[in-house]
Amino acid sequence: MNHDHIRRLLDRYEAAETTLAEERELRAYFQADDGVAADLRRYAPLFAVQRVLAKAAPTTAPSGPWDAAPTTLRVAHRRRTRWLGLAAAAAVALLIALALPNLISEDAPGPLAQNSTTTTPPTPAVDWSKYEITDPEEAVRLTRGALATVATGLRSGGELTHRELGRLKPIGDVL
Amino acid sequence: MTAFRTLFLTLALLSAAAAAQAQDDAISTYFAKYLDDEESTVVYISGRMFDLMESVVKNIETDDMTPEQMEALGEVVKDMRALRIVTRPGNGVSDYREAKSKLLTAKTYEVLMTVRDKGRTFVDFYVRERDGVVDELLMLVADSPEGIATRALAADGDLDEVGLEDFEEGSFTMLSFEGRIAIERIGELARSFEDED
Repeated sequence: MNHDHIRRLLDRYEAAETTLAEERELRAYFQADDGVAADLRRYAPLFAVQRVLAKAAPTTAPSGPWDAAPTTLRVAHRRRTRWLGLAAAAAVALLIALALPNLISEDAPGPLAQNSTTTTPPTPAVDWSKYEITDPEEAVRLTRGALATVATGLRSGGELTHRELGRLKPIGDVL
Repeated sequence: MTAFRTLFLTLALLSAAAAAQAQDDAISTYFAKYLDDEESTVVYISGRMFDLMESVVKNIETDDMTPEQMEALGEVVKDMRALRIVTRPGNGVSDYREAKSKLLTAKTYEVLMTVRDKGRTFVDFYVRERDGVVDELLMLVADSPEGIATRALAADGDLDEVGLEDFEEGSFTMLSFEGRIAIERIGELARSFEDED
């Protein structure tokens, strides 16, 4: 083995001037442990590391663009797919939640219907326009009447309470 | 992420549209069967009409109401979305009991006040709240024939020519006010009418 030749190659290697063939030659030299000159053994780990890395590298060529894609991109793609799956599941759940009350009321009588002899399933839509008041002055008159009815009802509750409390007064006096 | 955002926005819009279309007032939900009954009298005042009424009450000339009462009425109707009234003759008390049972079972409505006058007249107030605000005020009024007669006598004592036999039927009335209901304003308005009386 020409150790001087190796020493020259190492000088070129450190100067980053070696060719790939020369580097292969250096690796071959340091693989043979017993043939390495004593003063050159300190370089052996450097080429041992290169040997390990060369073994770890993929030996087969990529079969398609998806194999050549960086790993980080594939992880991002999987993550996005997972979000879309969750969104789709949420959409289905929401639609079921919106539709379920109507399905129940149309197909199966609820507890209210079971308790009542004259069942009234909730009506999906009522055409209120048939009953709509279109004259503003008539609307004012009716609204006033409706509010007066409400006010009378509220007042009657108060009056009744007052009357009944008045009846209780003698009892309160005795106690 | 853009696809997810688009999907989310679409769902939000669909939900809003569904909510806007839904008629969830008490009469539409539980008592729609009365609407097609020829015996029933039905009145509906829409939110659009209430918007119009706001301007009408400012300009209307009537002897029935003072300017202050008109202003008070304008305040009450300002946030109203709909008024529905259904009234029907017949055995008002049995209709009332059925309606009350439905409302209490549904648990959407909370009893605000209930008044029973000697088993002849029943008045119930229910409210539905949304986001801590009263969103619907529902009033049920039921009269037996005796209740009708008693109330008529109370309203006008000069009924000598009319005998109680003329009051053969009771009645059942439902009033549903939808919108942001300020009950205290209704009370104020009622008091202003009472003062006039």
